[in-house]
Amino acid sequence: MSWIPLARLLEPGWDNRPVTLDGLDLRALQDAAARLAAELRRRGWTRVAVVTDDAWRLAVALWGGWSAGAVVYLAGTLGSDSAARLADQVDGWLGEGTARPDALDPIGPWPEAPAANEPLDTARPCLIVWTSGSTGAPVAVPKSLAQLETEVAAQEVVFGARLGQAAVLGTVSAQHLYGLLFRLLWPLAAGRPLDRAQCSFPEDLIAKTGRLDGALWVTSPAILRRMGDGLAWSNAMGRVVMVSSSGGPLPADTATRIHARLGVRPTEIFGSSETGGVAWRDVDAWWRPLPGVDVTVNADGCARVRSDFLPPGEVVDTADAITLVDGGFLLQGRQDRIAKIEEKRVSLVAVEAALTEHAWVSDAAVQLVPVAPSRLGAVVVLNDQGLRAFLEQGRKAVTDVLRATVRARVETIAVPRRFRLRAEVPRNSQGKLDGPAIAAVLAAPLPVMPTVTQTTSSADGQVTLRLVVEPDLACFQGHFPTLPILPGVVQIDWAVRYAREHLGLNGRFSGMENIKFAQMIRPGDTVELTLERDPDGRRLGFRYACGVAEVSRGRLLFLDPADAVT
Amino acid sequence: MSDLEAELTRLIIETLGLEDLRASDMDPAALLFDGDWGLDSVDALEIGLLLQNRYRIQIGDDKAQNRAHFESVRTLAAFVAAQRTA
Repeated sequence: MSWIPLARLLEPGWDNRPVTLDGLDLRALQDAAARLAAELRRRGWTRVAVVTDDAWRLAVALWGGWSAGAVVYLAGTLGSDSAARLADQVDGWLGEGTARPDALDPIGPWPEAPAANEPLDTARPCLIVWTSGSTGAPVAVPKSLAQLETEVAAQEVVFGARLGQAAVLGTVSAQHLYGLLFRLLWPLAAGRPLDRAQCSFPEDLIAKTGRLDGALWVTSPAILRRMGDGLAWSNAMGRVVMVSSSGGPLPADTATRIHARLGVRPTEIFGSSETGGVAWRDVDAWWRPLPGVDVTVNADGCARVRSDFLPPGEVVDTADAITLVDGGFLLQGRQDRIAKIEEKRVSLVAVEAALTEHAWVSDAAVQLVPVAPSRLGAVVVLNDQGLRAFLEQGRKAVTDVLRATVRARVETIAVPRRFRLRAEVPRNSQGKLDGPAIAAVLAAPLPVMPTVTQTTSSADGQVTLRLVVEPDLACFQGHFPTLPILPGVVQIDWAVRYAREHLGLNGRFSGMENIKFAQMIRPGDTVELTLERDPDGRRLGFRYACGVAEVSRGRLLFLDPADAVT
Repeated sequence: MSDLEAELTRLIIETLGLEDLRASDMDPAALLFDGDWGLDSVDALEIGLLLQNRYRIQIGDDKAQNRAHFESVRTLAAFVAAQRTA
């Protein structure tokens, strides 16, 4: 398939070719863009915000808008306050769904319009993406077609051969720069068919992959870390030719697991909305700059980026500390993640690195907790080896070892005082640490109930809860002479509590029957609890399952609610 | 463990947010710094503050003596008891 420069995509001379996996093609895009451009010209809109989860509509909005000479603002990932501020700066909104009731659907229906014949201006800043500024408020980053074009061409040089005619599936939004480039702009230029929808769940991604001969997965660490062994991996094995991951560092054990499951090692992309892609890595720990990118170390020890993907002459100093190695660089953590404890500057990244390099730990996040005196708290995810140590030696033994590990590397004052052992570190959809959620985990006392991540009510009197059995649960504390498991009595207690909460069960507990424990529940497991109550409220069926395996089931009996009153 | 030692152990654990330590597990002779407790100089300031607020005790400026008082819960308890009767 021939390469088409982004600025020339609308020219009628190209051979037709597929654009989306559901059968839309280049002619359809040219036609839809021409119609939208005519409509925008008619309305006199020159600044247009777009909100859509549909990559096809986004493509129509971009080329329609550019063809009409407009600047297109990607607004789908802005918070409501920022979107409200943006509303004052733009002439109108394009999109679909409920986010902006006043938005025009980019695909119309609009009247037929003559095809655009003029090539698009490549030097003009025609796209606005966002980066989080120093205050956390979004800062606009303008991009020209020349910048975007150079970047996707660089990706094609490095990765094109291994992709061939693979289709492009994505778990990240196409409304961020990374998703936009990888899920939309690059496939359009290269002629690879793309999936219009964002796959929000791993199951979805694997099912779609099973119907393809070759696929590029555009992902983030957030979803890769959540892809467990219970998925139908065999449907995807051998069909995925590349997995890209961006937004944050991918834990090494996640990369190894994905490799074992898919036969392909994830390719990490390092960059930002401001710089675009900077470098990539897969097997090695060090990063290779993309073609056209020059990375040096500035006076602060951080990466200074000069890049063909930036406006001419622009230099960006990042907050990422690096050391140069032959052919690339090693990332040494963000310089801006510094906490002040008793006037001492403490690098949170250094503490996290000390933790994650321990053989028991797969992920960790560290920040200040408001205990007195103010100290660091750590949310730690134990790997299998760490969980085994936890099971055999107990919580205190594990946290003592982790503290000693950190103490050997950093100042005593930076040793986390509080540990939370969790099934995962709170991160946002782009894989970045979710500070407020981490603070909430650190501030809360050790939990007595599991974390409910999903509640589904399929029928009257029935509810299914997805429960994350955090290692921190009180019932796992202390020392276990044998392997600690979630005791049956606790499973029954949870079933009763959730039935009272969700199914309005209020009779007094009076007994049980046909109780069967088939399998153990261990710290860190995710289980599904299905509860079903009889119409008279006197019997409650419960069933715990871990993946497809049943863990336990039984029936609990209750006195007539009327009796409970006395 | 004397009542005062038990009280000090509990107060230190609460004040410093040492949730992985259990008062009943702690040996009153265990070293507060560089030992089982693993405390540091900022914690020492907090314990000093605790003694002032709770027992109305002023810490002197003799470093060697302070270090001896702050060695363990047992030495702290002896110090508090001596100051109270003084």
